[in-house]
Amino acid sequence: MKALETLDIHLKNRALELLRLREQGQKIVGYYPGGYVPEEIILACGAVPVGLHRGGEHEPVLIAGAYLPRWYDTFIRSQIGFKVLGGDAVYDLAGLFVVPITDNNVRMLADAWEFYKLGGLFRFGVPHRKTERALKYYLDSITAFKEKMEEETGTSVTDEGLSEAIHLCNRERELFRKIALMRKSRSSSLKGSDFVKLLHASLWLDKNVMVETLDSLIGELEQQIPSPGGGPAVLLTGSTLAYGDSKIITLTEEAGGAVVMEHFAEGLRNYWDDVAKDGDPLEALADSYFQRRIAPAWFRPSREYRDFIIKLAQEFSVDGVIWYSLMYRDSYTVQSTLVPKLIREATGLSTLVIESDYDMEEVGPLRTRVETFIEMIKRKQGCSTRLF
Amino acid sequence: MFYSPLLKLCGWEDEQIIREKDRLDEAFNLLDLGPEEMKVAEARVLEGYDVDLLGVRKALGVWIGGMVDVVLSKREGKKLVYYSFPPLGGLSGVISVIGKGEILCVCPEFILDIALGAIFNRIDPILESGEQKALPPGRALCGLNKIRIGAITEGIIPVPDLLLSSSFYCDQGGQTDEWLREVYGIPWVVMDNVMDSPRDEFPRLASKRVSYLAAEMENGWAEAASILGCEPDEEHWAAYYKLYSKFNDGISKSNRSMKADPTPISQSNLQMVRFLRNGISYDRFPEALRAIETLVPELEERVRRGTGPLPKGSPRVCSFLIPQRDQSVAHLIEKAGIAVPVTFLSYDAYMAGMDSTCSTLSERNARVELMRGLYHSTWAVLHWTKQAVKDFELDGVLWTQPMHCRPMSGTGYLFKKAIEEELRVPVLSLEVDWYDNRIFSGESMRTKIETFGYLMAARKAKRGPFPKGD
Repeated sequence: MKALETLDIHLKNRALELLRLREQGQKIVGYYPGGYVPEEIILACGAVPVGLHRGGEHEPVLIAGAYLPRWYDTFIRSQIGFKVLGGDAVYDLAGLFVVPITDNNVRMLADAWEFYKLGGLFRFGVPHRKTERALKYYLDSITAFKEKMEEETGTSVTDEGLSEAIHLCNRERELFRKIALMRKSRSSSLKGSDFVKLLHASLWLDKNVMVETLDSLIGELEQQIPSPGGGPAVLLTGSTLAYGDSKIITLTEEAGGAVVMEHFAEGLRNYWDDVAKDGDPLEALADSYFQRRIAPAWFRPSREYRDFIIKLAQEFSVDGVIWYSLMYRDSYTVQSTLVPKLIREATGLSTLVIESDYDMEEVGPLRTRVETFIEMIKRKQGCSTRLF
Repeated sequence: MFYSPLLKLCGWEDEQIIREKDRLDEAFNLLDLGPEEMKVAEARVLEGYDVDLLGVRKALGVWIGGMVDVVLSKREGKKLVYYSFPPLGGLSGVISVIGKGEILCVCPEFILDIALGAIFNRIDPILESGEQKALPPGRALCGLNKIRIGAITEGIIPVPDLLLSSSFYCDQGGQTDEWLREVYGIPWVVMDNVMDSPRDEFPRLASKRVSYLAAEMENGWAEAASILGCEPDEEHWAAYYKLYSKFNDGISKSNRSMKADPTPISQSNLQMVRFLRNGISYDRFPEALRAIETLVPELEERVRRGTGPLPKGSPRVCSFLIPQRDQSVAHLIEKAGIAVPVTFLSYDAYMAGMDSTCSTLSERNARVELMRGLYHSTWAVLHWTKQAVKDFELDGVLWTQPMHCRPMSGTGYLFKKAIEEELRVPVLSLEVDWYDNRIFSGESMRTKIETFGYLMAARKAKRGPFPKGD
């Protein structure tokens, strides 16, 4: 698809573009993905938001071993590794790293980043329960973040500027939702890996470029003649699916499965809901980014998270669910012993739990497990056909 | 009675054994602890603990009594509340006060870790069960949570009526309780906060975090009260403070006695006594008080005589917590000639005083919890650790870096660098599991610990006592 080819070009050029923007005096602001840092605040200051979300490689994990013990989430350790290794424009150019303090792993990332002086850091406090006072706390965090950004950029955030940024980000969300929902039909020629690429790109590229790309992609998808088919539909969920961590989705597609929906920290949470355009913009951001945001596994309780996954599986009529989490991300490790069981009980679907430490040696055994899983679903489907 | 020798060794008197005979028979039967297990336990107590100190023996006895209480609680018609470690905000204590005789409010995994683990060496099957049910092995998950799940699912301890936990300090604790809630439908009260303090904040406390935590505690008390059908009033809180402050006084005195050279007691023994505050129910608490009140004069006497487990002049270090499941690591440290007069957890016990300027009880409790450091930030823990090194004029830090504890497992790396650079004392970071010794062996650390001991002894001989520097 042409839009995807254009996207590749934009991605390739982004490093130079960021360098140019910084030379022109624009601040590059890195943030930890997970859906709790409002990009709108960064945009309203005239700065450039970039999500630090590379993963999937073993070397940064090894390098991070000098800074943190291995008992932290692989993605968390990777962020330290990529920063220390250097050579990635996004990590090198981001002068400030905004970290939403959510669970123990993310908190330790912030601690290590600050302690080893890896760059400027802003801790964005996120409560773990949805209550009125938690919302107030989150709103306070937004206000503090706005002040920090104003101090960093020397630009005051106006309601007008914020509204414009909200409008732009909402447009991107709307387009992502539209594409995501098109995947329900299973006739879309957009592969799961392509959609994930779009999600990852949205954390790096200019918002206007993203909107343009998504818009033209929708046009192309609407033009295509529906071609029903494909293998078993899979919902992919878990802790983090980083840029560069393509193993699980590639293996699934190579095994004949079709990933029709995914729910990870840096994915769906960002586009599922819009920010309200009326009322106080900061309050609207807090309402959307915290109160209405689909709670992650580290929320207490995390039932909303589990119910949502079951709902997704049902709404997208998937044939199986793959739970993909990273080593030592405790919240998700514990949930992995409960959620797949709840999914099976609620939907009768097959589930597969996979864990990764970004190690190349995992690929062989993972391929066997994923192929077996897809094969099992195919047989189950064949069996159903014969019976009914 | 086959258990009498063990219980007497652990400070029980004949009269108490006879009085509790039926309960002991029933509990030991349920726990499948027979004559053989009692012999094993006797040997472990004699080998592992300073049994010359009656206070230590009595404390061991309280842990055994606490185990009996929790195992029998439902059979005795009590309401049962489990709180998680580390406890938050005095709520567990005040529930114990209100529910005297009717509600048993305990941290069961702590009781089992010491009673069934350290004393009876029977905790491994429970850990394995916890791993099979919810907390898979090989993921560096906390042994305390594995014990909680394993012991409940195996029917070793009853399913409680209420679970109390913090949602912010430890992800695993909250997840464990939520797992139990999902599986057993147990009501669950959670108290939240956000640990987003920047490095330079402590010892200042940001008002937004104090007020958020205070409001969460207030809410937690109200929720717990409505579930249990009883509400704490000022009298309850006063009774709680009175009883627990007596215990804390004893702990403060024993902590201060550790400033003596030689230290009068092994830190691992003192820690076992001190932790009674964190696990035992109110009904058993008077015995805990007697244990500490017996121990304090014993320690003072040792200080007067200048005796202790190690010779005078031994290198002295701070740690975080000594693995308690068995005493091998503690003994290894002592055999290497290293004394541990203070740990982060023992130091905070008397450094965080009550603030009389607070407007509400919950605000006061929130301030105390945050000032202790653990619930504040990594930097607050570092602050108090450095303070302990200075205050006790230590020769180094032997940091037990827990692989299973996500809030703390990174501290070994960070603190080694920070303390060595700022205080210029050596730091050895030992990777251990505080509650589960299946995955590491004390013996494997022998060379590291012994070398560290030689290093510090040589430095000490060269430079004289802290803080003159090299």
